[in-house]
Amino acid sequence: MRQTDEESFRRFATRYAASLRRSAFLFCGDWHLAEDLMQQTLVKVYRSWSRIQQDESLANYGRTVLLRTWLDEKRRPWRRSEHTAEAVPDTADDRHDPANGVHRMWVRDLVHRGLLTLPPRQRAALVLRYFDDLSVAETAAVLGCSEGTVKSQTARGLDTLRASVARLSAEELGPTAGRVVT
Amino acid sequence: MTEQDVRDGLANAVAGEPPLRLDPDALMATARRQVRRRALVAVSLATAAVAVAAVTLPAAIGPRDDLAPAAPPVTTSTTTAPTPPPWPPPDVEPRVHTAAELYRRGDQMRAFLGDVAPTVLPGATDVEVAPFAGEAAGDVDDGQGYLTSFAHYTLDGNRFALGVNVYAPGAHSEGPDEVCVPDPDGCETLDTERGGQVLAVDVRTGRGDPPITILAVYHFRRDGSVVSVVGYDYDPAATLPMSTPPMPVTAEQLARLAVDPALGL
Repeated sequence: MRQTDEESFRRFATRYAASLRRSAFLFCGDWHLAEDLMQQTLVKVYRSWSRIQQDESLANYGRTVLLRTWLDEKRRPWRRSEHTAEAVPDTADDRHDPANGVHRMWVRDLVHRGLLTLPPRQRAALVLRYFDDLSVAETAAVLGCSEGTVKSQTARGLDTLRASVARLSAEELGPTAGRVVT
Repeated sequence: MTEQDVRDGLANAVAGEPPLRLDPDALMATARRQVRRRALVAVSLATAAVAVAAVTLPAAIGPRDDLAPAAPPVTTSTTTAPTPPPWPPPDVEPRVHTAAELYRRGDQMRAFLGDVAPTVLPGATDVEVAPFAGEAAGDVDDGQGYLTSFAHYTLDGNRFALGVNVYAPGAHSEGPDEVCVPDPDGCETLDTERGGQVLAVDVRTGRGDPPITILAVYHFRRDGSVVSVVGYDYDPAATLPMSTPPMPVTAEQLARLAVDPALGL
């Protein structure tokens, strides 16, 4: 790779690594795996760099590679053999400010926990639309499907997410809803 | 819950992200190593092809006059750097299937697996092939580039399963060298003469509690499609037993299925 290409890739990686890792975390629910997925994605982008850097939507190309990398990871035989897809591992949050209150944690936990119960492509559609703020057309390009499929995946994903959050709410509130803290 | 609640929830979910450890130089060094490894694979395949030609061509031509002078060796003063075999192949033509087409194709492959199982798995009984689908059981989307299924069976009183994953041309982004990354020493090339490259990947041997073994065979086809057949020494759909019996299938048995044109998209 030419020196100028190396420099432009370095700028790309520095600029997008964090956002790719955040998307990966929303996909998989594990910061360690998210870090691996981000690194794998950037390595793949590097290998294609001389071919793709004329593309104006480099960020979305990175998202496409990330999505495929994650789906491939999920389909690996040893992943398929595990029954841990719905588990949300504990992650340290040493920058979390308790003063932000219980509500933020509540929403954060429930939405992401609910998201992790969705089928992967519905999950991806919601992350791309509501976290990355992509348009329907951009989401379709990243997912490699039609705009109609994006709309249907998003609608089904939202329905499922609402149901999942409601169920999680009921489970968490149920035992303690009537408890009086003294 | 509104769409804004979803936006807020997703934004808040990543609020506690750990510090980013990104070293672009190390990352680029890793990428360069992979490119070099692809080049080595290309050299190996080219060498194998030359070796096959050297062995088969004289036999095909017939006996020759051993006293005839040998042709001078071809020499060249320049060497050409091998081109890494790209994956997917550059001329791959992606195939887009509707959900209805995928369901139909899945039904065909499910019937095929049911028919062929007694031949490939001698002695297997109670064979149950699950419907081919996507990530969620029974869920297939328009434009989905893959289908997966499990074939569950009983052998010598133990329940096992095979995983079958078929990918349309261009849908499997990882190439032959990349599937071996988790454990390069566990990879073995079985055959390069069956319309593509067949790899046996010893994915996981004797790890876990109880120790389990998973053996995957990938058939990378020239049209850019991929079929992987995965053998387990237990049934992934059932509760993990206290101990696992010996692996009931060999890489060759899995390869018989992986290369069969009846499987594929």
